[in-house]
Amino acid sequence: MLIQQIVNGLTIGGVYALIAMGLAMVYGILRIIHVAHAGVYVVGAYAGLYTYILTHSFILSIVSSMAAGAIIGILIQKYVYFPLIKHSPIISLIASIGLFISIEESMRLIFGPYIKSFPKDLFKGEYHLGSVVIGQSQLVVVFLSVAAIALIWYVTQKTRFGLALKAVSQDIDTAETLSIDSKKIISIAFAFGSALAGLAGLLVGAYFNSVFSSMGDVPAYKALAIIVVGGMGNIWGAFAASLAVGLIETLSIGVLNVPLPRNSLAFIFMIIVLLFKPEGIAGLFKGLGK
Amino acid sequence: MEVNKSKKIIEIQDVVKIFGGLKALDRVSISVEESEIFGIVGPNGAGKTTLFNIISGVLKPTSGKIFFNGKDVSGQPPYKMAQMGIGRTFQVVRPFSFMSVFENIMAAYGVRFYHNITKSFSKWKKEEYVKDVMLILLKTELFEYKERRADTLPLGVQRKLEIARALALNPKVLLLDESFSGLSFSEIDELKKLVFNINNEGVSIVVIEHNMPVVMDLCKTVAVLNYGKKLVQGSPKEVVSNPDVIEAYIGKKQYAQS
Repeated sequence: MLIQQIVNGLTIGGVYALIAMGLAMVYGILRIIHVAHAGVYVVGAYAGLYTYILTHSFILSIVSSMAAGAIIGILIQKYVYFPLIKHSPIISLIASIGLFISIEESMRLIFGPYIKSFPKDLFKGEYHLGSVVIGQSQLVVVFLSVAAIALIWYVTQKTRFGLALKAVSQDIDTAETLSIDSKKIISIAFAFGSALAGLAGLLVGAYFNSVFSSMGDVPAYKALAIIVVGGMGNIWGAFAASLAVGLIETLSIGVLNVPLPRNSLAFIFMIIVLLFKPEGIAGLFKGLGK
Repeated sequence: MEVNKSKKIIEIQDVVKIFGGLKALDRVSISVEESEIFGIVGPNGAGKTTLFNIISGVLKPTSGKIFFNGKDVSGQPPYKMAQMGIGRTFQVVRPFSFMSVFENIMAAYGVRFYHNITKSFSKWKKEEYVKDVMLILLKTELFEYKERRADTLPLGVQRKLEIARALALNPKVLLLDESFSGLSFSEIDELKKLVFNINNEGVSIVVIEHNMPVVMDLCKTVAVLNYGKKLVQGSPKEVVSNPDVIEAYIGKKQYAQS
């Protein structure tokens, strides 16, 4: 039972990580609280769902959810955040909230106010390992989250782009005088982070077998709690915090029977972290700095 | 081959820069010859750093032109200037604090790849690149600090790091903005040696400097700026004995009325 809950907690934590790491990346470079990131997640979910309905290929769904996410992300960055970059961050925050609401409402107008589900042929199997049951959908979610996180690790730690991104997120002007085209780097980072949010939308939609226009509401604010816990702008802190929140939620509800709503737990965790370690938990892991 | 007729690496023509109502630079023209060390001096607020910001593309001139290697580069963004071969340091040091010395230099070494999107995603820690960066670390005597986080270093070392980072661009011109200020005598001597070494490899150098003995030692030609205008240009010796320059620094000679 406990192991089952740990497996479930890590699964959901992995999906949180896909959303939160992109958000942390954006905060790290532009210092913008990108609430509309959850809007990108909703768009990714619909793109993936309809691609699956049309083609019955989950691979194509993955591609389309990521592509839709990347495109929306670049548009948001180019036409909303960049023009506002010189103003106080509160203005981008308001713009971001407005954008989030309008994306969700557009989805509702286009696809209707109903919960949609995937065709029945997607992920029906189950695997038994002793007493632990792992659904096929869970396996796919874990596999793709791990692959995506490994990709984030590789890109940010090993490639020149990752090094340039680190430089840009510390000091845009200095990075520019050292030959780094910061606009290009920021666009690529947005596209990358948003593609992952799109993928997360698809995975959550497929895992719970439901896609609906307001599915981004909870992630929008929970992801903020996660990046605060992780240390604002620190993507590996966000990764650790995502797994922690996933585990805390599942274990509190499933094992400890805590009589609180599931979605409140991330915020309680955030408050506790702010009380005792306001700079976030990232400092606990030396060497995983920004 | 003519020896005396050297090529101009940087040519600034009638550059004007206006901030609000303030004329920070007023029709300044300066040319720097290939492989010379050129000095810019002047009182605080004379427009020296503004001039550097314009040469390195950080600011766009209100009017006037900048030529680099004979090509008009006025108004190009800083990353393009850097890619063409203009490296600079900042008056107030600006290392990437959360990165190691090695990573700081490696970020600038990427100049060889950033223009190409595929190459931008290549691995940065390949043996040949690491070797190149090690050479820069050795040349700038930063080897022992290579794994240290940049913000934990003393000022003199951070200054050298800024120079090392600019060198990784493989520059044709290096702009040093008061790199010598706040350093101890021994640090000044070390840095002077480094500047000469870099210059001997054919890199032209422009220094902004308040420390006159350093300027005397380093520079062949010096330009004096005051209130955004170029006052005089000449050898360091000529410049320090020029009455206009003396006036700019310590005021007009006045005779007590008796």
